[in-house]
Amino acid sequence: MTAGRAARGALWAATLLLVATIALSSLTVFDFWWYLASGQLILATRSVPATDPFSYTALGRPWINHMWATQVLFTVLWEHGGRLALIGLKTAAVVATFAVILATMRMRGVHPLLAAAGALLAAWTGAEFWHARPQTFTYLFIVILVWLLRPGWDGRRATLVLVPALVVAWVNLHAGFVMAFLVIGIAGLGTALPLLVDRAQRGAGWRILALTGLLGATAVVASLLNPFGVRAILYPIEMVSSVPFMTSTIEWFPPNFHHGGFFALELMLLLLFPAFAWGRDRLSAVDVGLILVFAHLGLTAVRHAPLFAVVAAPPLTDALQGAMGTWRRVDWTSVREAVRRRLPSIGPALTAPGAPLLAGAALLLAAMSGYWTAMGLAPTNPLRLDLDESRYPGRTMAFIRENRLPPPLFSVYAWGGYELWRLYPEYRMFIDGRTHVYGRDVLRDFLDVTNVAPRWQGVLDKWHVQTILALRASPLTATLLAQGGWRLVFTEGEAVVFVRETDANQPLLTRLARKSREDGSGGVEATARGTTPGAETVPVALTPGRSHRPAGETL
Amino acid sequence: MVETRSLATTDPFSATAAGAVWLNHAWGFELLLYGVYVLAGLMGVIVLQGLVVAATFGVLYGLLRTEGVGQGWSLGLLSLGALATHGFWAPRPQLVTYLLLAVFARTIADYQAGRQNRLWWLPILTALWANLHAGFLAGPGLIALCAAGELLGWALDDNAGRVGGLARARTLASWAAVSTIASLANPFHYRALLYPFEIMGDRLSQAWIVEWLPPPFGHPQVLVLELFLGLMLLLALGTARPVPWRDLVVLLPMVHLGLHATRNTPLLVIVATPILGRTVASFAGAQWGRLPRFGRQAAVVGALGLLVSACGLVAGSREPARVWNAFRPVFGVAAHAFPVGAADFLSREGRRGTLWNEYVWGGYLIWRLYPDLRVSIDGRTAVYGPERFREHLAVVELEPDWQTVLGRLAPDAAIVRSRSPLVAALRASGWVVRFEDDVATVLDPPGRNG
Repeated sequence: MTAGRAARGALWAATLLLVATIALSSLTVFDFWWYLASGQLILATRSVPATDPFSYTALGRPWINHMWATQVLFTVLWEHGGRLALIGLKTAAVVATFAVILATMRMRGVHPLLAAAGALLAAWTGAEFWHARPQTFTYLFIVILVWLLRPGWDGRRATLVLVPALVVAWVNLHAGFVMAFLVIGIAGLGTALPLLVDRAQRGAGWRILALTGLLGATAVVASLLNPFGVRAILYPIEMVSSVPFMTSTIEWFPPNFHHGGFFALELMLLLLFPAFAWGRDRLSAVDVGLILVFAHLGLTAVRHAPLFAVVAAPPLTDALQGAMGTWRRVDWTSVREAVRRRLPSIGPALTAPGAPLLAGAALLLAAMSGYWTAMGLAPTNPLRLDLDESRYPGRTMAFIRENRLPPPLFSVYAWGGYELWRLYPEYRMFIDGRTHVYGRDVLRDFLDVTNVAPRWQGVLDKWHVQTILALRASPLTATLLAQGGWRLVFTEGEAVVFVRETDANQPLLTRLARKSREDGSGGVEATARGTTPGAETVPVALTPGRSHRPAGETL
Repeated sequence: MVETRSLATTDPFSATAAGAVWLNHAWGFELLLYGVYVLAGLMGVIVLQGLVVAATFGVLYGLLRTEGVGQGWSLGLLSLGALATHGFWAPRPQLVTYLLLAVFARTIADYQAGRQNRLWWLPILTALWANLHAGFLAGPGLIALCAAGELLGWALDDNAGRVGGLARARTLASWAAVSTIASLANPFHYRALLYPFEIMGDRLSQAWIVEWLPPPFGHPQVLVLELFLGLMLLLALGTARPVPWRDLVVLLPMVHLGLHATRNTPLLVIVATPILGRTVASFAGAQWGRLPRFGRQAAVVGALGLLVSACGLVAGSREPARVWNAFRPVFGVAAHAFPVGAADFLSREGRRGTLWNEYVWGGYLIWRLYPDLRVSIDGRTAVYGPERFREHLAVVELEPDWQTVLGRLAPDAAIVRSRSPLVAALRASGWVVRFEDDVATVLDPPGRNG
């Protein structure tokens, strides 16, 4: 191995370690918990449920559980290795994603230092999305697909085999597999178009279009290899065309650039302008298509920001290298000679071929060491917090269960997955992260109660709700406290629990009030004074970066 | 101002900030608007608004044509810009900023291209601007950006782009400094210069006031803005010479501003249009001429088809009404946007005292009900300060202390959006509904006789 290759290897290893650090620092959001409940159910019944078993509002309705395989994988790892095994899995997936990105950059001839910078910028762009969620597989698979469809794909037979194989795995892990059709289309059109406009090569262009059609058709057939057949393909389309779903789920909102978490996304978007202007010779039609389409997706929904980052990073970095190449050249040879002359002792070492790369690697390792040293004892250490139940209202769940608060239970969307994990089958959910299962009517019911819309009480009556778990600082809590008819029985950090004041619930309410007076724990007395006793619960982030809506409560 | 023949320096309108310092940076525009209203009524205001918009686009059209952009392309780009900024051309002091920014862009472009040096206008215009709207710093800011662009262009552009760059950078930097000094010619002197920074530094209002939030990408109108920027990127791939660094240096901060606040969209469009125009001219020179006539026609039809299909498919398929709602014209005071019925009711009842009101209705309620009723908040966030704004949010968001805050304000009535959670919470707390329509609900506090 030459010194240059060793230096490049060291730099890339340091880059991937820093990527792993960024991935480890990204805390998994609330959906995670129902994956475990679903995985347990699949393993216990040895079948993938086709209808909803978890809720009382959508019980028995069709459930396209497109990520069943991820749930099984997560559950097996959770049961055998606990949360650290899952943290390891997500980190490995993210590192693998960026290894492919670095390999793509190397193939394009990007300088290792620039490649490291581009990869780290992309990792930072997706920093709030590297979760133990099925999406993480989509990030990995999309960069593999782009790699398979790199220039010359039409001449490689392996592509025609590997792409469908990739789609088969993808369709059973996450609904993001539909992105494969988009990428195939862009790669095919982008490769064919420059040939089609050239009269001499028009035949080759048509051949590539035909090959694209064949590859797309094979991918479609491959995607049918899932428990739901063609419905799995229709599901993502149905989901994104659902207005109530798209306008009420925060991760489908556009990015809020006020939030520091989107600074890197903005930087990537801004860099497109000099890259397109001055690095255009390094961009193919496929690159331009992929960048523009995924930039649009990233601007439209925050959840697509990482997709833009991983897809755009290699061509963007390559084009920026092209742009920098147009600047007036620095005569590095004379600079090296000057350094050697003025610093005879360390000059040769400083000007050795791999020195800048090694210096880059050392810098990255120092930054990473500093970060983990600072995090060692900090309460915000992501290794302690990620997938840790202390971030959720665990005592509240225990209180509901131990005191057998009367079902049906109305609750907070963000805690739906955790409740499902902790309370099912004793309690079924009103709603949780599987919004598509519930349909627009249940979603509207949920939002009307949460927003205290005029029909909120009618909705609670319609579903015979007896217990409400709400956020302490919310319109619903304020209204329930002001109006009466509901008794506050428990608080824990951000969580408050109300029970409907009915004759049937009276014995329970009396018992809870007596218990509260006797041991001074929880609820009624303390909260009447407006305080929140009990465990300090870290509020669950509803969104990576606060997106905005002009009006109205959202999920 | 007309009645008292003086410029109020403390707040006379609100119940919550009475006597607080009021830096009324738009006093000149307010006098102008009031004068037009007195002379010609609401129709006069609408005509004024139309004239300023036409003048702004007229200046941009002239600039595009001077830069060598064809008539069709110029009209196309301006139509795109008009669609992207639809809804921003309200009779507000911002209109002045839009017009003067276009004039600045034209004057600087003329100087940079060596056509005409009228940079001496700019300090005079800045002095005028500083008395019409707090956005006046956009003027010296644009000159400074162009100076930085010239400097970077001198360092990085190709040989053709470098000629005379350093000298132009020096000249522009000087005029930027002179214009900034000229902006001190206003009743508030240096405090008017600090005012925009105070507003932009107020995190709370930046996070909650819709026009300060980033554009909602995915909305049909923002899709047009996206198309505007996408077009810039695509055309940059085919220009005769790469888009010069001096243009990129100006464009990138404007894109940054556009991504951060919806209200900056017109600023982005006004500054980016000449840059896009130059790019179009360069692209057309390099690529357009190569195409046969049929190819050009096909390209235009294809581009239009693409635009319509993109808007229709991406936005319309989800909710067709959104497309119409995004672009439909609205004249006069829109009854669905303001609590016209509720204000009529309060006026009819001869109410006096204090109001708790929604933020966005504050200005309208001052106009309709002052001095009988004083508002709790309005668009002059700097007058109210972060603490009063936080209190307002505590009530709107029904935070745990909302009743305490409202009790402290002790309003004589509340005027609230009819479908807001606050109506239900107030009702649950014993407030009595006195008036209700689709827009607003008027409630009286418990114990007040109807």
